[in-house]
Amino acid sequence: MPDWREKVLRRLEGSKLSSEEREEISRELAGYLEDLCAAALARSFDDRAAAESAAAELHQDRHLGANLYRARRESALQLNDRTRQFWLPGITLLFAGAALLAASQAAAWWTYHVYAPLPHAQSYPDLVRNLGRHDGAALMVYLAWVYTLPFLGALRASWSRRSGGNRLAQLATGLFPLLLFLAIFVGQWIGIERNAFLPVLGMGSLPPAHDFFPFLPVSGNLFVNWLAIPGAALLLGVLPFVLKSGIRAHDAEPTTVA
Amino acid sequence: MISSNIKRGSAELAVLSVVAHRPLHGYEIAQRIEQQTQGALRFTLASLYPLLYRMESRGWLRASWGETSAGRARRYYRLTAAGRKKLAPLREEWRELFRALGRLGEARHA
Repeated sequence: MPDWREKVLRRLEGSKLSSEEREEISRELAGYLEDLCAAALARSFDDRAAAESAAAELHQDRHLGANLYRARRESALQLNDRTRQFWLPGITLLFAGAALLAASQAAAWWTYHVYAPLPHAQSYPDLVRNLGRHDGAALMVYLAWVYTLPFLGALRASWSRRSGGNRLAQLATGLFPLLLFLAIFVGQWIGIERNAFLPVLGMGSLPPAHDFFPFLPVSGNLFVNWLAIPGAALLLGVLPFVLKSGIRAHDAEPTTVA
Repeated sequence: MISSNIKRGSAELAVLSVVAHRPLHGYEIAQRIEQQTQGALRFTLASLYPLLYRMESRGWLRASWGETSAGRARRYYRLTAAGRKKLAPLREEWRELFRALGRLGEARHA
């Protein structure tokens, strides 16, 4: 029987595969060719004909080395399903939402700074503290932010859907920011308990436990402001996609058909 | 005869299906597929190994060296949890495709 390993190694010469990869691939492919040869012998081929039929497979594709090289590196280029359907849309649009909130805060700060200067509001970081003293300004920023949430939720769910995400993935991706809101809720609750203000970096921030609902305790306001209303707003944007996916559960494109 | 495009598309499903039962090495995978599809799908070395490596890279298959009953070293492929998760929807997609094609055929004869 021919030295198939040697033949495969020669076949892979000139490819970009590393020497370790060539070594392993040649071992594996030599095993395949041995089996192929043995099967041909079992079908009454003589030695030469069996070896020729196996060699024909080895030389069938002149791009074999390049194809094997690309195939072994695909994972570095291709994101897995969870990343494409959940993490990527979730995180990207979370930053987009944070940017929107920060922009609305900056706009509010600029407006007040120019038209109705607030005492001590000399810089952007002062804004959060000063907004806390002015219900109207805080509410304006808050509502502007809440209005963006259904659109961002819908965008996340849509992105996840287009990446092949099922209903659960779309729902989870759409409601992704709730994880951060929960962290903010807990952080601010602790801050209030300790009578301290915890700035929320990166997200922009709203005044802690703003008293939008005077009939509720501070923790109740926190819960409603950071979890209940944003959660409902996100859900509003996500639900049409999730329900649509339910109706069209068997309508997925057969992605494997080239 | 099934066209080469459809064959290419069905190749992943075929591999996942045959390794779902037990770990197999490359030649066994090719043989099983050819036997079970009665020759409709046939892999050669050049079509099988890039596919196996791609599926391994995606985390659907895990390969490890083992020995055949004759004591020969072979690289065996087994289905991972991610591969098993991929198999069910892939099967459903193909069933749906064939149902759709079936309906198309029925509509022509109606």
